[in-house]
Amino acid sequence: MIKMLRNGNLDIEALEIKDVIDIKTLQMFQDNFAIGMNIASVTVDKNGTPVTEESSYTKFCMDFTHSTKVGDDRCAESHRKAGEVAAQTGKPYVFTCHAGLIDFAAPIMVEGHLLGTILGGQILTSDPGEEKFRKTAIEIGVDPEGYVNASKEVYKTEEKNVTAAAEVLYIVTNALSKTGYEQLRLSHMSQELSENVTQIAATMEELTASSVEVTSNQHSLSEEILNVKKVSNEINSILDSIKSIADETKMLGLNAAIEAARVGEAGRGFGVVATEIRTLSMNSKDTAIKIEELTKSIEVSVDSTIKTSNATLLTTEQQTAAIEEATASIMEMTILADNLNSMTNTK
Amino acid sequence: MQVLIFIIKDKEYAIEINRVDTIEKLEAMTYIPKSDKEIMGLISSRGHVITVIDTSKLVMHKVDQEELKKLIIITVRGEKIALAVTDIEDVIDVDEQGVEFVDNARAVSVININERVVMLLNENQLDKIY
Repeated sequence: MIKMLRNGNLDIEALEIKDVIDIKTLQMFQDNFAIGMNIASVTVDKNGTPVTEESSYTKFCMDFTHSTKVGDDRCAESHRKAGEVAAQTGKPYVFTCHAGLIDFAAPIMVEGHLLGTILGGQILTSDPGEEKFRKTAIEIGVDPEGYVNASKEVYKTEEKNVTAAAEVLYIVTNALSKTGYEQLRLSHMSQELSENVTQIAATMEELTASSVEVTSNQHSLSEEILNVKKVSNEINSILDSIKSIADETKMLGLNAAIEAARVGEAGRGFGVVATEIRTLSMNSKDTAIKIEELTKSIEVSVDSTIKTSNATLLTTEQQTAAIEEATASIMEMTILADNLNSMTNTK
Repeated sequence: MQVLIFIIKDKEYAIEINRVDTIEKLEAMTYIPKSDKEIMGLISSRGHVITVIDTSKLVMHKVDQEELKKLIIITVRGEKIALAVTDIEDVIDVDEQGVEFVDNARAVSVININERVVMLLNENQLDKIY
């Protein structure tokens, strides 16, 4: 089963033969190999369950040994043990089965993990003698004569041929599984790449939109700042009239003082009022001057803000351009990743 | 006594308030061609035509007429004249005993205001003005 781990890698423990090797191709190879070499074979998964049809099984095995439950179980046990040895050594293992035939087991592995075993053989390299077969026949409960006769039909060859055949099956199936596994990984990686790139592209688009907004905000900010400057200029012109009013008031106060002095003692009270008016005008003028200082510092601040704002505007505009460029590049990457993905996912 | 403190160029001067009729801003003035150079022009104030006098002569140095924006209207020998000055500052009380003469001819008088010695225009100067 193709399963992904949390970290996004393939779960190699859950991987099965059919995930990495096309079973049809394997069957075809296995059948032709069996006919060509006169050697029976079958592929089983890591639990010992066959994943292919048996190729060129002998009468001895099919019609007799596997015909009883005891025989079948002994074969299964024999295969399991051989499979274990093969998996442990990581190499093809040639052995004599419980019925006396020469068999081999070749592990199918990816990155040191067993996916299954290709089993084969059902041949003889030497004659173990009729007695051995008779004894087995009785043990598994089949007709001893038929069993012996069937054993005579078993193909005889030399051990080096068996070893070579096992080696060939081992090399080819492992090459297939390795390629299959790599393709599977590549397919997942490219899919992930495609997804990630698509995600980045979406993010970049958002970024482009927001940077455009930042630029336009900066524009309105600059305009708003200019408004502040305009308002401060208006305040200045109002201050000018306030100062002129204060000046008029001062003149009025001084004239009042002159009038008060003219009438002598009777004008003393009026003189006090005249002084108050002069003080008032002085205060007005001082206040106007203070406000003028403030508007001046506002103008200085505004000028420096405008300078900063213009620099920011330039930067944000450059940023927007850069982001747009990056977005375009990422769009191209998305297309490449999509192509890669559809390529690797085509079986 | 009370004195009016005023400024010509950047120096303070004083005049007894009792001598002053009124003060005004110098606004619409009619220039008189070929008149004495002390006469800046004529203004109309409260129904009187008044001669505006350049006070440069009074302070013994040239003052730009553009700078003279205020008028002190006084009566000299029964005639109203306007002294053009830079600015008019204040009316203050001074002790009559504080008036001092700086020469034996008692032509130039000064008063002491807050540690500042200020020339007080008297009959002598006013007679010479016009």
